[in-house]
Amino acid sequence: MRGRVVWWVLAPGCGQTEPEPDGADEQPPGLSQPPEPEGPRGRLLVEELYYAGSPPMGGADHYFSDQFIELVNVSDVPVLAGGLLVGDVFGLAGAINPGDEPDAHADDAERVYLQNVWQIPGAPDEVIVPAGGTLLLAHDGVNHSPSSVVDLSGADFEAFVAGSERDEDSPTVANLQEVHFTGGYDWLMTVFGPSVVLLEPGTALEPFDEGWVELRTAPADSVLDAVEALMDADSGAFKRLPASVDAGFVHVSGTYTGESVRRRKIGDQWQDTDDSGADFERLAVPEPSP
Amino acid sequence: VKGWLSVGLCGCAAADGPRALAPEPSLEPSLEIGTGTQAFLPVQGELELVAGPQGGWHVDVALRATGIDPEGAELVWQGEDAETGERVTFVTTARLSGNSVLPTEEGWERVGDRLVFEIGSPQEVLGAELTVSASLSAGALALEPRLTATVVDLTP
Repeated sequence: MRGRVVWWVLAPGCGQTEPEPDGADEQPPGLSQPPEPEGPRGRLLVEELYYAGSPPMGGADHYFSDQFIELVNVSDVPVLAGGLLVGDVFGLAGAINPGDEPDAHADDAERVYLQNVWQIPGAPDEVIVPAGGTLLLAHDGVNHSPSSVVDLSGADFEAFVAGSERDEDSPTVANLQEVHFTGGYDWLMTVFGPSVVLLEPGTALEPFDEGWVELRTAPADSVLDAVEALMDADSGAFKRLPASVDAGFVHVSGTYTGESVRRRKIGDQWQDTDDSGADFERLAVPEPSP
Repeated sequence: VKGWLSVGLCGCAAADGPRALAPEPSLEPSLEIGTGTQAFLPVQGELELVAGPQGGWHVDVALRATGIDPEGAELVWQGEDAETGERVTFVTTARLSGNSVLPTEEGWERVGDRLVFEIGSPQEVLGAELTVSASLSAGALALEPRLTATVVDLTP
């Protein structure tokens, strides 16, 4: 089993924020202080992205509510995760329909163009991912059986659209905060292949009028990590992210295949070369941490 | 998630993982079938047929447990025609954790599982008697409560 979800929220006045009584910080011989939490840059990466949807099962033919993004702390210290932004990048995944042309803004090396943006709630020190721990972000934080093999009822956060009458608020999963949402009854990433970015807390987002949809842009240097998935191997012209953020792309074998993409691990090291084509591999069955 | 929330808001003990709900030693293991997506609701003889958000029809099923550690427990739901014993739903499975159940004073509740019918039309099951079974394996412990209720459409 891979690293399980191990993280916690510190309430105000609790834990490391509580002043210790005099002498409490004196360590007995042989014991060391637990490491202080550090910022997420270089430490928190996208581990797995599942977007393709489930193959027909359990009475559903095109089931997509089981999408998830899993982040992993690849460092040996706890990481501050409150306030992090996560979003999907604007643009087609490929020539889905005849005549489709690339419409993304990958030629802008300075900014990324986001269709939807969500935020992990709380101050940075209110959500901490321990060393080696993961953070599971769900489309819907419920058990998707029998329509999928994915059970997200134990996820850490879900994208709940409060204004929707069709999105259900899971009682076992906390909600992400909606920052910019462009429609639909839930945060559906394209099943053809989305590009997902993780942004620094406090990143200044700027509005951008795409014509038919209002986007948000963020400085490219605010991207902590990214994964770019497109429709197929021939869809390179549809890249959404500038090469400085992600030099390649990954894809699964098709929509509703139940496949996900997961970061490669070489020995004990997660591969991170800022090239999704090299860093990610296809998984036949998603493996969210329980 | 309830684990971290309760830790964060109610106590200062830093949790180092999903809250492990140790079985309450003074309580005998028990498992009750109910319904509900937000909280456990006892079944009063009827289960409401629900149109699934992506097609199909289902009933929402839930569990209330005492004296059972949910961590790693395997749960299998299915529904049978109460008269014929024939299975009329798909099998719904889950592997439980402390994060995927709601803690209670005496144990935990599991909500939000769906029992999806293998039918082409809701008329095939409306008014029928459905026997719901929940098979739970937690270590050496195995329980399989059953409940029979009428499938109804409460929403005109």
